[in-house]
Amino acid sequence: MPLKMTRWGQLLIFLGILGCSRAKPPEIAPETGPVIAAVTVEPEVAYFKDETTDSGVVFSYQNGEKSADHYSILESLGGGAGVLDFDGDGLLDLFLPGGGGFAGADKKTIVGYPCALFRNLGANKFQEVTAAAGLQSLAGGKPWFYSHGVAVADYDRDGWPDLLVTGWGGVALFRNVPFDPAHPGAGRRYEDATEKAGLSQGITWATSAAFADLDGDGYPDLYLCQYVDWSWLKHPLCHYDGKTPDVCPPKNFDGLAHKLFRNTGQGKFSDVSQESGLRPGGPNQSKGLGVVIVDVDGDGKPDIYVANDTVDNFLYLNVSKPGAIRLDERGLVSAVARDDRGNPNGSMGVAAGDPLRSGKPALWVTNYENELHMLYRNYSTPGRPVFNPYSIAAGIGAIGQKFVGWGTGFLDVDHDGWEDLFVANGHAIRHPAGKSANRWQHPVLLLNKNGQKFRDASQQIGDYSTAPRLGRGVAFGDLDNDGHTDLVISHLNEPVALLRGVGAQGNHWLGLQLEAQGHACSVGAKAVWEANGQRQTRFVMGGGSYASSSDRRLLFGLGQEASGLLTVTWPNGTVQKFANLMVDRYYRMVEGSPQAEIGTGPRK
Amino acid sequence: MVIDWRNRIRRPRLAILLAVLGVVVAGYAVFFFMERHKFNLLLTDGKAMLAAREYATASELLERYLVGRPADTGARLLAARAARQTRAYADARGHLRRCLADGGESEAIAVEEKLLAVLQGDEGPVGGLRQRAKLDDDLALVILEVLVQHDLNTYQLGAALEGFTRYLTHRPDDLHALLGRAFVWERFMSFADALEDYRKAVAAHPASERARLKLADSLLVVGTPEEALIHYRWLDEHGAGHPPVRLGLARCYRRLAEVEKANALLDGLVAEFPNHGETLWELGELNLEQGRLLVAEPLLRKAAALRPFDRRVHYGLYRCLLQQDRTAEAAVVDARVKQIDADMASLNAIRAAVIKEPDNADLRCEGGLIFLRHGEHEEGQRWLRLALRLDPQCEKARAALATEANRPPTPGASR
Repeated sequence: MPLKMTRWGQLLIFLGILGCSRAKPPEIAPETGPVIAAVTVEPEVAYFKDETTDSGVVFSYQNGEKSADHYSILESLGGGAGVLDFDGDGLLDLFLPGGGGFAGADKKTIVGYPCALFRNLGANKFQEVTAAAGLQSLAGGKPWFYSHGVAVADYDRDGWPDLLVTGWGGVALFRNVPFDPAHPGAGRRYEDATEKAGLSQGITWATSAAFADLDGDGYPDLYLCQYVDWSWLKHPLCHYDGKTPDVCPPKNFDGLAHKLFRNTGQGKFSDVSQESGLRPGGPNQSKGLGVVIVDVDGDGKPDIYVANDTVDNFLYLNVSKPGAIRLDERGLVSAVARDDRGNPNGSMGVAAGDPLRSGKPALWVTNYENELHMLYRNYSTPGRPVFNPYSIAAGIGAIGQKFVGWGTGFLDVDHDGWEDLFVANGHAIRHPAGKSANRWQHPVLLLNKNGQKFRDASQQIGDYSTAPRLGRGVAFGDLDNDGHTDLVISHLNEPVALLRGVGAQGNHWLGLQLEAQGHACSVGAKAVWEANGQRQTRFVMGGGSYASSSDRRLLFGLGQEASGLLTVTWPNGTVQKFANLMVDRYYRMVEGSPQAEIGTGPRK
Repeated sequence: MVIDWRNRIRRPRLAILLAVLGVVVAGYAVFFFMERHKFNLLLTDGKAMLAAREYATASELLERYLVGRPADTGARLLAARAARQTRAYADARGHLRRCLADGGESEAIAVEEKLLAVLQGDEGPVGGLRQRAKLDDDLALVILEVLVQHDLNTYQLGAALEGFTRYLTHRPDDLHALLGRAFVWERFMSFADALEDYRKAVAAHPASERARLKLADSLLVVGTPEEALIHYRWLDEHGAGHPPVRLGLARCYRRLAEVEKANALLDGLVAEFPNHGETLWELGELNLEQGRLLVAEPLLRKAAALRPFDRRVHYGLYRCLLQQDRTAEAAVVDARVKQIDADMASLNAIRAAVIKEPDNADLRCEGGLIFLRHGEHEEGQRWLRLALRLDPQCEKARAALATEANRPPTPGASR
């Protein structure tokens, strides 16, 4: 029977869906096929234990949506978390940005909510010390601004960690000072040094920040991501389903130019954004959310990788000379500006690590839904950064593209010597269109299987992952100094979570605290552990994750190896080798000192 | 006992006569019944084919039915619809005239005439038909089928989406409407909604290879390769191991880091279809990420030549050249990527404008020319034909279509 082309057939050809059609009888055979995906539930043990409830940390970042239905893009960013040993007792304390809300008759006065500092008392107990540490307000009792992120560095090189808080309308720099100068170790507090340091002006909307010594003078300089040019005067309302108001995407706004401040070494920062070669803002530029600083090309100078939202990411190659910071943006030509298909992504969180054991830092960036989180394999040589997208090859595509990823980082949860990945997820808009991704999302843990592929082990995160979350920033740090990386996760309008790393029982580990001479900034240093012909590399980094500051100590998972050779390369190129180190402990290594000192815990 | 043989002989003759008569009558009855049954069967089958959208078959069956039942106006209307669907517009009009003369249902005939007019480029009846389609009856569904096609052809995606949705309200399991709406969702970049329609299509029509392939392809974009793999495997095992299925399987394996399996499948496909750009690109990317740059480059170069409009392919080649430090050559490819980006931005603007101004011939023409420049000849020609329909004086469209008509065929995309 001759079959002419039919109208619906033509329609289907138009739709491009006739690929495998063929004439069939109208009756449908009672054949069934799989419709629902098989879910693999693995019975393995959890790698984390949620210890928030007993910890004494009761704190929620607020974005203001409860006080007004503005659906402003300001509300979508959320906040991060910081871990730092502010009092020098060897235990990492927590700093948590508080966010903000809307006040006034029209609810259009943007107000900040207080941030919080929790002192680590040990044994998983924390005590809030915000007021005692002088962080209840800004200088002169001025209230907090609407905050997002935190960065930690010893900017004045006095050996104590200082604190930078980012947010809408500005930043605040807090200097770590003693209560009693005569007894610096007897108690510490923070004093607002923003104005004194020259950081009180010219900042519109700062998100993530990172410190690193870019010009080689030992003092940490400051890179500041800025987001978009939003205000009440530029506040469109968007509807994704045609009727429900929601937060507009960043495409509706111009990107703000980022900021680079050079640390003068005199307690001040000078704005060198222009002369250093930072890219300008604009409709398709610079919508910065995440930043990590690490030496990507192995020339000894820390380089800057920036996650921008919906526009090209930046890779600033550091070509500075002493006293003059100069950056050369090489994102596109090194293939880390876009995804594997050449599309700029909605990038949020960033990390660097060596999950493939190439000895060079791979870059990792978390993206929006319908996009792959991107892992970029590093093929760089000094002066020539070259990367290749590697997410597909690493099996990361297996998690699908339904997540909106934020805080993230490499960590070796099972101490097998292969760095794994954690991602906190949560949608950026309030009403993801009906059947689209959910606003509340589960976190993701990707286990690195010997550098061959990553396996989705999100089921093994533990009880925290049983409920979906509105995840944002994550700080990674060993809060109890047991060699397991713990997580501090900030959520939108929901309590911060503390997850204690409990995996990898039986495997060995080694922790390092690298201290450059004279309390100089050690970002750019790296450590290589060699055992049995295998090499692992860890890098001292600035920034990372999203709006958060993590433990700067380096952790190696050693598996069953209990001996090996450690080589430390300092930012100035000096190389030191350490043998006969004992495992399952931290060492403090000071540049130039031939002996590694068994560490008691972190300070900066 | 005496037997009267003469009477006995006479009676059988009568009996035989009667029997023959009976056989004739019965035969005629059977013939009459069979004929009637045959016509009924033709009508039933014709309707079934129409419902199954096998319009050519439906048309043939209904024509045969009407030979025996020429006065059946209901069947004649169906025959007109079937003829319309096979683009036999003159036949359709003939049926409608006869139907009207025989006292057929006047509204249905009038609607059918309007549908014919719309399909032949007359925009006049569209507004009225849209109104009529809002009524809750079978005729509304007939109208919607034509209107969504009209809306897709004229890139009125919002209206098409509404049409599909209205249609699905009445026939929620309709395969073609589900696939059609999913297509529109994809054009709106609403992939999760598209995925849901593909899932519904497979749930309602589990044996449909077309639906399952679309679902699998969609899962590779918005689902997980693990779930996509299940459906590709099903297609492969059920005899649909044609190139798109094998390519899908390879993509799943690549995403699941099963490199060797992916490599083997892609090698096989490239050997079999050396001019299939998508496959060449996939294999080129696989080699690129494995650091086999010299293997990747010729694959990507060939893919780029076959897919001049595909930025993914050109971006892959660009990265491949960059990694080899051949920056000058990379810059040339990068320029092509930027040109594609610029064209895509223009095209997106044109698409958005077309939704607001569907009758703007200049926009259609401009869009068509971009498609042609990208090597998307079929789509370009469609846009240009639309431009000409809207403005027969549109010289640019006419000239471009003339050039297209003289264009030598490109090497087979599949082989």
